[in-house]
Amino acid sequence: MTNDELLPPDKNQVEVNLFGPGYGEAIAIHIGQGRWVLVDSCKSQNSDIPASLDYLLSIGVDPKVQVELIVATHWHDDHVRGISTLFHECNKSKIVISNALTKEEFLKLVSLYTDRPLPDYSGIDEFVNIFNELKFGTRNGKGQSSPIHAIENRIIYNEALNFNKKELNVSIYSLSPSDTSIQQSQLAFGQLFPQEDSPKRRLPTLQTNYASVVLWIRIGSENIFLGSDLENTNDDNTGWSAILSNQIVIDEKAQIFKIPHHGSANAHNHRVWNEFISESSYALLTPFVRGRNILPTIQDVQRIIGYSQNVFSTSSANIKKWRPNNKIVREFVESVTKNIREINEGWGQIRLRKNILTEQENWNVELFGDAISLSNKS
Amino acid sequence: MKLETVTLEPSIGSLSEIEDINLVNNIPHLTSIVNQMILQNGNTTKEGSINGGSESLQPITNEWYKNIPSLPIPRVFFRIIYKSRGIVIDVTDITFTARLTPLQGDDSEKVAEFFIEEIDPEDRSLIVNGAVFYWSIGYLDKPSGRIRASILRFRRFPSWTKHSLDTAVRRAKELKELLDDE
Repeated sequence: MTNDELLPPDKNQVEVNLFGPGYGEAIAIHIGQGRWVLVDSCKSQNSDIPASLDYLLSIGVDPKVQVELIVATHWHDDHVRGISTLFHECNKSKIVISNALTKEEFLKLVSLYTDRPLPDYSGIDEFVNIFNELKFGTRNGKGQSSPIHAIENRIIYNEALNFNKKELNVSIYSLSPSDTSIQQSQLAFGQLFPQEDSPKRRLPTLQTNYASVVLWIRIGSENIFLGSDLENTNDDNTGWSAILSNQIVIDEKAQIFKIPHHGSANAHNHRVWNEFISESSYALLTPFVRGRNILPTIQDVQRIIGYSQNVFSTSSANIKKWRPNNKIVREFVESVTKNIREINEGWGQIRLRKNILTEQENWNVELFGDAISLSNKS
Repeated sequence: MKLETVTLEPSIGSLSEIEDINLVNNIPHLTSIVNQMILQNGNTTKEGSINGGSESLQPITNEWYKNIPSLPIPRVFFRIIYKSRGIVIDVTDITFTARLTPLQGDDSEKVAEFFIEEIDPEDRSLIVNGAVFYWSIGYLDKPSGRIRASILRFRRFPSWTKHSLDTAVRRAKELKELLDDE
């Protein structure tokens, strides 16, 4: 970033940042007047510190006093890496956690892994640290003793901020999880609790993310919709169907949409786009490289650009067949594996800024690192 | 009373190194730990039992361990060219897919689909989502000559005990009281 690009937003500007390596996602939002809200966490490009923290420090923001709220939308590794560090460093912030992750079945898993029985990192480790911070009050003895529980149609932040003598309301709502989602998640977590004498192993990721927190952020007349990793399900009382049926918060369409679950078809919902997202919206996503496939697929991108003319990704992650240079390694790789691919994740940041007092002004979009416009690629 | 721990050489580091060496050398662990209690009594050092029993104490020198005879070490070495740590992310009847993090001889992450039949039958029950393994490729140097080798071994962790599971349930109840919605 250049020196100009490292300037913090003006007090009357709203700023939305999406950070993304090919495996990981973090959001940092300036809601005005020097106040910040952080959603999820991933590693920074060049160090192990959280990307949002790295960015805030680079533009001269003091995270100890200027971060109001941290939201952990769910427990998957790619959304929470470093979030406990954020919580520790941002002394003044409150933390929001899905209600599903404060129930006994999930807490049993957290307690099981508290003593680090396995050497490898897991998203559970972050919650162990967060709960320890809450329990022992290690953030200079300040902060809350319990998290804010995110459930459907709950207001989790509400402040009237003064923008050049004009008072505007800033409200943040959680639109999920639904009651049924919370119950389903407990059943799923319960199945992960091991049996006596079973071997210890890393917690696998659940196929369906019932606990995910979707957020609606309203700053004056601007609306920002963060879709987390919520997907469609076969049950009208869970996933996107539950939000479409139950939500009582949304009365105007969003100008900025963080596309859920890396643009996957599982998370796409036509009604959500039609009913909640403005036609001139800015749609943002992070890619996902983990198994054999990359998200979004080419078909996902073609589908998404049919709904928005301004679609951006934090990188164009790709995988390509790996051909080792060493002959011996190549020989065994070809005999032992059916296929092996090298992951090129990339790392990028999408930043949008706008003066909240100027309603007619468009959002100014800046792309850093490997971030790209998917609209231009069509 | 001073408790001194002595470690005999050679020390072996990570579990994977032990598995590598044991696999190809078939030698017992050479590392052992000996605890002594050395009672300081003026200029005399004495050796006692670990529990501080009442056995008669004999004067010792500080270098007593040098009298332990050295074990013969077979000249078998595994020279690693490539090594990675894998985490299983998907399993089918015939293959499993894993994300590989390079440890030696490479610098970028991979995702690979392995044939289950290439895995040691003793390890196949360990192939589950989340399982961790180490994959090493290199040269096996034996007195009879050099051969090329690929070794893929799954990590074995201790089992969950009733005590650890019960402790987790108890802690969860305590945590829930702390976190309950106000």
